[in-house]
Amino acid sequence: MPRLVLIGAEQFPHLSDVLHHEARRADAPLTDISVEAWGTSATPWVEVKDGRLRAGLLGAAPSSGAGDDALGPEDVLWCLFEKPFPPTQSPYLDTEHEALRDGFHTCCPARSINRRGLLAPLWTMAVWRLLALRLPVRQEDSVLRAPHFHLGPCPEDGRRWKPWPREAEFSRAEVWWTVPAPGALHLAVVMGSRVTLWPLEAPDGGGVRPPPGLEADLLQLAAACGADVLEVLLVPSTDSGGDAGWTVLQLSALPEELETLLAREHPEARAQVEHFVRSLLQGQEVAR
Amino acid sequence: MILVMGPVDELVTAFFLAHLTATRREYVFVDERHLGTQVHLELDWRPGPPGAGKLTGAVRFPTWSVPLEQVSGIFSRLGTGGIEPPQTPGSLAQRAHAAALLDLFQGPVANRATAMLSNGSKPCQYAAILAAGLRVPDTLAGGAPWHWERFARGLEGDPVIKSVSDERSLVKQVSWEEARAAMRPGHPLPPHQFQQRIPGTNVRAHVVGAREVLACRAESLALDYRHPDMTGHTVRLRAMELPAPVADACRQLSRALGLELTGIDLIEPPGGSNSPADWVCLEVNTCPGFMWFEQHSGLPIARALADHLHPPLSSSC
Repeated sequence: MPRLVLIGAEQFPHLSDVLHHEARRADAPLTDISVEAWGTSATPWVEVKDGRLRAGLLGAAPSSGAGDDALGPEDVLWCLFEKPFPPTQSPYLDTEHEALRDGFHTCCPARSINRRGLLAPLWTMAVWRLLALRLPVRQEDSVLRAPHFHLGPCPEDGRRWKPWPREAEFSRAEVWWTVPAPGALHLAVVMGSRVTLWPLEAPDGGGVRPPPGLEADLLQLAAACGADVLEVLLVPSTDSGGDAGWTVLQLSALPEELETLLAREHPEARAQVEHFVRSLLQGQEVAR
Repeated sequence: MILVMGPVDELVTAFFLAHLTATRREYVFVDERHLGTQVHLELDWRPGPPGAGKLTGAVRFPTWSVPLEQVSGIFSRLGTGGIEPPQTPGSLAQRAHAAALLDLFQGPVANRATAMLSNGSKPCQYAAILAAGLRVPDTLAGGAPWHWERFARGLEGDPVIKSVSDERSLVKQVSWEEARAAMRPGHPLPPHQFQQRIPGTNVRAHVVGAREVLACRAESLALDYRHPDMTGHTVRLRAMELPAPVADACRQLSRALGLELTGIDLIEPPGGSNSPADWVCLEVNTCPGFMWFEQHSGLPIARALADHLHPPLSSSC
């Protein structure tokens, strides 16, 4: 039976409840490491022996079941949220702790949902750059495209340019974006091989399966970003939606909107999470 | 033309600029300190099918500018040299724009900002090294004292200890008893990396454009040949040809990490071998200081890099 290891799940209590419930249902040992414990009482290690990578966690005993602290390829790891490790008195040691954590995320043989680490563009590259580099995902067949981006002073060309959110906060880059005639704002939630589409301007509306072309693009986009769980904000080119053309406005590997949907008790959202976790624990869904 | 970005007084930047000048290559140079004051980058990225023309823009100087369409390739040493660039919003924004340019530019870039990150954690590179067919020394990073003891006792000879990150550290050989004596009861263990000591000769292979491989042996009795003066030993660099399968593994490794210029640290087994599985790779330097190797071995690394970033007419026809 695979072991389910969660890090920082308390940041998403409704999602965490579903994950715990599914682990109990499957009789899978579950290890739950809080954000505070990660890097202090629960620390990572990485080993290479005869060309084989091993990795595990010290001080993270499973809440049910027993086993070695090494994580194997059958296990499932989901680091939902983490912060920089608590600072030591030495900048050198702080760097070493962060490097070890990145090494753990990269090398851990467990099936890692939204694998982090320095080789994961999802966690290392600004989202707008990721969109620019990954879209279109299916060349001329794609219905999904990125906005038009501009770096520098805001263009004065009569179009409606907006600053790219979060960018100014982190890098101070002056990134502007525009889209032609946007339709209603939607949220797409990709989990493994399933996608749901939610109209955000009708918050009580249910999630639906997207049109085939859009679904194929969203699955390809998630794969191209190295994501198993991905939230995508997008708008259709026209108010009618459909497969005519969509523009991605934001990506997130943090399940914040999914948490909101679960809090509102949308059955489609719960069913999507349950299907994803069951498939993982049954070994049918392959995380990265 | 080649766009070079970095601090003007940084050794490798200055060395490469001197090479470009001496060989009459066309280039434009941006001193990192001038980003946001005298130099501004303006970029425009339009959605559409991949291809030339998607990214447009210019490097703007006070009285002239260079359109990106005229740039054939980029060499970046941004962030090196220990300079402290201005922290004004304009300067921070322009350095962010430069990093974006490195990621989005459609021609060759040595190296793209995101691809350089892998060297920040040595274990992050191990999976790619193993996938390329090269060996990684037995290694333990992090762990409890019992992990360390089990690991150290399973090796022939004492392990070496080195940093997990890319922070410069002098590689030292330590016994398990010495490591245990240095531990402080009640304090968390520092996350150093214990590694099997590998017999053989140190080799540095510079790979340019995942194509050209320029290698040299570092002959020294020092455990860490990069710091021979600190250990009282000398070091001699001699150019060499890698066996073809090993050179191919180095190319594959550079390609897998998305890097156009790498400095790969290898250990050649005693007596040599043509099999990559017998060669140990210690790490891949993503911002290699190739000047020292070129000056002491005669390898034409700067020329290979310049050719890659702006191919001579004869090779582009």
